[in-house]
Amino acid sequence: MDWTQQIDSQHSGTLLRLLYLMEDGKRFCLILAEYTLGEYRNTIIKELASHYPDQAIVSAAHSEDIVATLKATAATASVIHIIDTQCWFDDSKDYSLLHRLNQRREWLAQHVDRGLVIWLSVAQVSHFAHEAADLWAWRKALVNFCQAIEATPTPLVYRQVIDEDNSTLADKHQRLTEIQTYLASRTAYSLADALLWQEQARILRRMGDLDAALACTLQSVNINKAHNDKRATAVSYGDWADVLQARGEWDEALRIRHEEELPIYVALGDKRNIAVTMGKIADVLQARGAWDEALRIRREEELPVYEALGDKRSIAVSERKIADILIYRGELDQALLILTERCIPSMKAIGATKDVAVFQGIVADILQDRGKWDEALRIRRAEELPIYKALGDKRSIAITMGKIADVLQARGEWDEALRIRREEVLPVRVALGDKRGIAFTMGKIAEVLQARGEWGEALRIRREEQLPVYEALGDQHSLLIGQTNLAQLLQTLNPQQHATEIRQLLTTALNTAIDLHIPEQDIIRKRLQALEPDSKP
Amino acid sequence: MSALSPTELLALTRAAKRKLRYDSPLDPDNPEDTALLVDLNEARGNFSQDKLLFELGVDAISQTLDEENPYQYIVFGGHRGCGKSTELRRLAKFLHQPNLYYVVLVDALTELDINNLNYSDILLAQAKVLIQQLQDDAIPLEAAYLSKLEQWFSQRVNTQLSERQLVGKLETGGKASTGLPFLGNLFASLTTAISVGSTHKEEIRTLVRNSFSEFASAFNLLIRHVEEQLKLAGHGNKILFIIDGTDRLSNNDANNFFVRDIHQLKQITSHFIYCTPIEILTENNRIGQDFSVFRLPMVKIAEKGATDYHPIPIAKLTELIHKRTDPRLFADTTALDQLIKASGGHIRDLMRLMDFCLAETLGRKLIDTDIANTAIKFLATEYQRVIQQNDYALLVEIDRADKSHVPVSQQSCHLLYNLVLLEYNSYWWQSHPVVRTLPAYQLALTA
Repeated sequence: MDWTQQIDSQHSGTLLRLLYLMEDGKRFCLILAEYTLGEYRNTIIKELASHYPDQAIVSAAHSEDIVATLKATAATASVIHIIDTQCWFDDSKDYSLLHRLNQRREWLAQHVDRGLVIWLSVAQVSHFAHEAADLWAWRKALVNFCQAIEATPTPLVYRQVIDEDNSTLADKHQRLTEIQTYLASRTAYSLADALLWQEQARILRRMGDLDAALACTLQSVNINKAHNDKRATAVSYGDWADVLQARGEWDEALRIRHEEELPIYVALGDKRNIAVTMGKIADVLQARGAWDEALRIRREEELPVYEALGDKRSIAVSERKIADILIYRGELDQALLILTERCIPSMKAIGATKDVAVFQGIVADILQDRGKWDEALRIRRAEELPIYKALGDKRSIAITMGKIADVLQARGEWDEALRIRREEVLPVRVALGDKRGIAFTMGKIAEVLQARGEWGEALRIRREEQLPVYEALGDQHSLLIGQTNLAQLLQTLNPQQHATEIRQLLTTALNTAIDLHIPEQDIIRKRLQALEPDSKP
Repeated sequence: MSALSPTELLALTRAAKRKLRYDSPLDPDNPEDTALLVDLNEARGNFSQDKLLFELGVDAISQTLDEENPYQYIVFGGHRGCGKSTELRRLAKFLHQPNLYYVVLVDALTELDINNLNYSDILLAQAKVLIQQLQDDAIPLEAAYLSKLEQWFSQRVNTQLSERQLVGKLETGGKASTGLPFLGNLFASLTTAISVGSTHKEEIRTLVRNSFSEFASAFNLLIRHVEEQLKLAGHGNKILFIIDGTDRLSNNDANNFFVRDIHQLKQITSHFIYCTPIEILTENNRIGQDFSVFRLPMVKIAEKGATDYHPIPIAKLTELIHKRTDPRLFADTTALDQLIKASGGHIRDLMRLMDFCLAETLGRKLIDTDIANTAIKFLATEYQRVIQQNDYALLVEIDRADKSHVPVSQQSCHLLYNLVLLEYNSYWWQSHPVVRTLPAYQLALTA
């Protein structure tokens, strides 16, 4: 089956149940399908055709002898849908048609011997159970494809959306309060409420409160599961894995993606989300240095799907991630080629200006790594920043300014680098409530102070404003990098005086790096070994 | 629980799914089916097959038959999906022995059109199946004992029906016009004419009805002779007809068959077990006057209102599931325990719950209590469809009352037939466990 947006996500679980119970449709299996809207019923039947190409539809109203019709149809069809069953429930006929079907139950199983889906309205189901009790007893399942007939007013809280990246901390808090107040008033959660829990999770994650984000995501998973909305469950599992990834809990993130998220998308035939999920798996593998497998996934499992879907943006993003891998592997020329000749032109062609800026930024990163600072600065100032300013994307402006500061730092222009970080980057991070971003920027400020010989302040910042934040956020990856940098600082200050602390910091960082299976462990190991060349960590 | 690889998990899930079929009874002659059989009689409470055997003159321990036992007309009923057909087939296999009975199993659903069935249809089908079985077993019969039936047919039936009326009307030229093969063909013709819903069905029935005494006398003569020959041939001491499928009769037809036309049924002197709709057993007290009544109760997993469960039924149902589902598919024993308790001892529902669990795993996970709870919720939702709002108060009333409280009414019978109410041995009632999880039931508890 190929997932389509025409199917209501809340019925994704029902669809999977039907497919599982029916199997290939080539043996007797009776499913009673409840529906409210005929058009939607037809949509479901149409979508099932991709799974059962030789399925057939039989109208009970147009079949004088339904049993004979079913037998004849079974000769060439697998699954048979029976629709227009109103005549079975005609009082004037005293349900005789239904009784006859009921009494031929064994005959049906023997001579029709196919998957049968009988489509019934809500009212007809209880009549069916009573008048065809033996057939009812043989049902594999009663599945529900009902939709609301009348539109109900949607509370305002469901319709308000904020830009998680660029809204201020005050806006974020306000939105969180709105959601929390509303959810507290609910006696039972609906699927729409699951989305609110998800939105909370995303805001909290952006604010760096990963524990709270995880709790909200779990709530969303549970609500979606309770409503048997498999697709929504997969989406919320994906969110869960995203939070775990942000915390550096990569093993668990991978497990959730492989065992909970992916199987649902595969069962639903949701090719796009399969590709997206595989891409996120590749992200983790990339971060762990498993570049070959990450590259294989991007080239063999992601790109082909986006190419088949004609999704230029996703193609470009995948290619950019391939470029990332090539950068990690030191194949910078190849990476640059992909970015400048494929990604950027693609994004310009579809008018995706923000993506153009993102890709320009990556090009600038590569140039920076190669020491081509002037060109890197030019790109940042002339290509990246103008786009973000035009879009009012404060977060991206701050990040870009931070990268400009990196270049200036590398060139020894420390005062300007410091000014940018203090006056143009940090205030934005604070306004957005981006705790991780604040800690990161403080670390960068500490770097500059270190370079200027202001050791005391650098040390204070690392100890009091950076590491505790990463610890509180549970961000293991950032923490181990922070610990390594602090060890480096102490080493520069006075290796003998701080020997114990240096060793403790590097050992803790190394153990975390080993747990996370990331390449940084080699660098940290070497630094530890350098402390005492004869000892083994 | 040992870890399964993803491939193993998927394979075991698929294998379990294939074995969780409940649309046909288990065949005791099929080795694949017998591998799945579990004797549940011990788990049904105070029900014992021995009582039914005693009624038939069979001593369960010595496995001997009292040949002087009076002819028995037994009705056998129980809830849909409680295992009636499987039990009947097991009983048939047990009783079909040289020193016991020669069992003739008649499946009315395959032999006849159960819609608008009457006594003559069944008796003709019995004759047909008996004769066919005798031919298959090469039991020699003397022509003299067949002649009365042949005469009945040629004088009463064949002359009255034209070629178009009797499908496959017998030719007297090329085929045998006497003997067992002839009789076999003629009864096959008659039952075929009835089963295809021929418009001449009523004419055949009228002919049979109008000459029924003659038919009954001829059939009884045949039966007596057959029993002598069977004994000589070491194929059984008496004939026992077991008729399955008559539990599918509509209410009117069932009343006509088991009550109105009982006199005709009993004109055939032999031993009979008829499968009977539970509605007749519950609503019609008269049936006990003409038949010995045996009700197959649900597997009794607990006493009414009790929170502790009987270990033997739980073990039996566990065994039933483990024969179909590899135990390694369960994360722990709690999930299966949960499902068994939620089934209320209804075997088909237990297998349905298992099916739902496997659907939730997508063949990639073990069945745990979360999945079991989801399956239970699905089943509860299905039951919700057959319950009216004002039924919940009655259900609570019955559940709270003593075992003796079985208020037979149209409302309660409706709930019984739809399995919302389950009947256990000594015939007390309790609502299906999944029904008790429904919010409306919980609300009725507080009222």
